[in-house]
Amino acid sequence: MTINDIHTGPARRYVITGGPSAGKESVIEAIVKAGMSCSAEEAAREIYRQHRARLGRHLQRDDRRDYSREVLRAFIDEFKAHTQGVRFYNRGIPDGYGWDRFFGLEPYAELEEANQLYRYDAILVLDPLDTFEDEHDVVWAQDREIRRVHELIVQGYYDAGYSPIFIPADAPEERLDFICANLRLPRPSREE
Amino acid sequence: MTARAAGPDWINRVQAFNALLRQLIDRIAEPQTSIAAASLFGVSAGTIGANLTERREAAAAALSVHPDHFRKHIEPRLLAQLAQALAADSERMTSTRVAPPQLLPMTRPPAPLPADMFAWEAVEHEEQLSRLWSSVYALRAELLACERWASMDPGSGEHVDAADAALWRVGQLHVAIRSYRRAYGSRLLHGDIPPERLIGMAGWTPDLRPPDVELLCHRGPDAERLRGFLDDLTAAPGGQDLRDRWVSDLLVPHLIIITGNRSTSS
Repeated sequence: MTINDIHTGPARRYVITGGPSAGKESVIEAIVKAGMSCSAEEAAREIYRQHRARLGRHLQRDDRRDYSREVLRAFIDEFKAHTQGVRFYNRGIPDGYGWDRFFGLEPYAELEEANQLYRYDAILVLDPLDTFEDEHDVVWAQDREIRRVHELIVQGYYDAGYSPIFIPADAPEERLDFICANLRLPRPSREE
Repeated sequence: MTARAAGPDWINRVQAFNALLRQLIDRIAEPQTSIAAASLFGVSAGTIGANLTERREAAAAALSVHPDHFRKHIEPRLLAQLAQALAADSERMTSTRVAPPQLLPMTRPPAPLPADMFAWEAVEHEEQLSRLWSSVYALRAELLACERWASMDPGSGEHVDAADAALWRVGQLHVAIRSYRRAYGSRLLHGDIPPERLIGMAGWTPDLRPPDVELLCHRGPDAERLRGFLDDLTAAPGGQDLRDRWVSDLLVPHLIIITGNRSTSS
């Protein structure tokens, strides 16, 4: 693929995903810096804030479907808005599978349908960055919960019929090189 | 697999296992070995539905070795490798939700929480769980106090005060359970037990009928003052009866033991 193809070739859609603490923001920053199209903001994050503000409390089980549908609509709009060249997405439609599973909810019809209709070209899972300073830190419940989210997101992509590419924990630039090599994209220049 | 499955039934567990197996196979560092493992387990295109001999042949072909050599020398190593990876995963995902989250002293500030809604919600779940367990331990403390006073000084009335406090705490626990159920459903996430089971983990308590629980939850047991709660409860219709039944049922086992001991010693 040439530099031109990256911007004007057929539409290619790549998802960057992973649980919290996977270093997603840094990799996305590196992608943007390399001049490639990328959704810098995660749409679901703002929807989550708005949803909570509207309810005036935390999300309850009965609220989750509405919230998930809102997030799904944002992902679909984002998918459809891209028509040519390469674009990276900050999470994708199948993230919903993992998230619903975390809360013990079954996938719902709209999610299944969207997953069939809107297919990404590759899924890039960022392996969690090892932020634990000693082996005992891993027993902290918060870390276990976050690790569980990561695992469930990955499982969701398998359920959606994808074979993700795993990106080892490394510096953002190294990870971007690894991504480009896997996707056969030109290696980004490091010149300032 | 329970922690990964969407539901408690075996179909969900099988789906979770299949997804995990594919993940572990995709993670094998050596690409040809990964392809061979995918063929062996029938998860790659062309091998799905094939019998074991055919899958073994495909796996051997991926590594350019004879099927017999693959079966005798490579396959056992591959299986051991995957079994080890499964065991490591199980260790990582083992749920300890039926026991309180293990806490260790923190000697330095925690790493900042990522600005990620998945992290916010995972931590919020942990927060709710901690509130539940704090109510469990608060009830446990009163039940222990109740036992101690009943044994040490049954005539003092302190054990009745402790029983009142236990009733207040069990009300708080029911309120916390209701809040958890509204947010996360009828079972503890990844723990696979109903939150009501936590009551029994605090210690033995007399059975409460649904109207009793309703009354307790609506008399403000989450207020800070025990006395205010008791006044409100006993002023409500049926409240005095509930309180009296609770105290007498809770203290009966202790009184039997005390009476039994006295008659033995006399």
